[in-house]
Amino acid sequence: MERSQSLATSPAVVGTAAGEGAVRRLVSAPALLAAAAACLAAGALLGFIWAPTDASTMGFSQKIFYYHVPVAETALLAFGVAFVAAILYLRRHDAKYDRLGVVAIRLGLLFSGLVMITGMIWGKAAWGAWWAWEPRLTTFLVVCLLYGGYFVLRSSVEEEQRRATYAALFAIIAFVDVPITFLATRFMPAGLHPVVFTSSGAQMDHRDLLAFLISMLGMTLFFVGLLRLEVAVERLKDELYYLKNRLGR
Amino acid sequence: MPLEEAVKYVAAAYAIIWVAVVVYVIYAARRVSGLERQVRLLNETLDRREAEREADR
Repeated sequence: MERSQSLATSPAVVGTAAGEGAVRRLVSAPALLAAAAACLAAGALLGFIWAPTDASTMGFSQKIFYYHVPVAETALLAFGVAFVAAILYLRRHDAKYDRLGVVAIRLGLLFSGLVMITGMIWGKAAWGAWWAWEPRLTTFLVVCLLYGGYFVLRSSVEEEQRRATYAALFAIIAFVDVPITFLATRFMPAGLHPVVFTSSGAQMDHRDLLAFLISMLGMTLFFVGLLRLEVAVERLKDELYYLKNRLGR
Repeated sequence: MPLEEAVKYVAAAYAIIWVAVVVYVIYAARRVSGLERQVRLLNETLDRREAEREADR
């Protein structure tokens, strides 16, 4: 209880400037995470209770869609944030963009891990196999391996500025695979993943779509909330480093 | 796939996501509060040291 109160009022999480208004507090990490949990719960409930059960071969296992796809989209969004942060770092050489990039990729990998696990479960239920070397799965695996390499690169360079520059360049190059993954089902429609969103709209029942959109909102809020928390952690680590240096003098 | 069988897979997928989400939030929140505690302690130590220096002068 004490911890959650401390977190909710933490300057590092809520913001540092004194007298910040209610709007700022509304987008604080705890508020975002609470809203995310509510949306995710609502999305799942709508998906299970209101949305129709898939009449095709997938049957009840289609319900995994309401969480699996939002998690995948959020993973790609996280890598997009890292891409923008990398460009900003190379232009301005401000350490805060390096921190943002690290945090976004860490979260992107968390979401990617969840995509792979839930995807394998869904694959086993729908296709009878845990894994298939089809375009979407393969390109997503490549994304995971690429961004895993990002941390290997970071740990191999000691000098701070050089590490940040190399990491930013790597994040920009690795991002090339993100649109490929996203568009894989359109470029190579022979794969097992169906194309749900086409130029003529969403190929699903409106109840499915609503449950999906609410889950998508929840997952995005969850990502933003965690991003704020993790950025706060990185900021506190820097503050601690600075204070320790002062104490050592 | 029979419904009873499919329910197990769906439940597993949802449970994994919820567990991962909750565990990660707790982990991140603990790190924030731990680091805040350390920052507070260091600030207090620095303040005390400053006060002692002032008193010595």
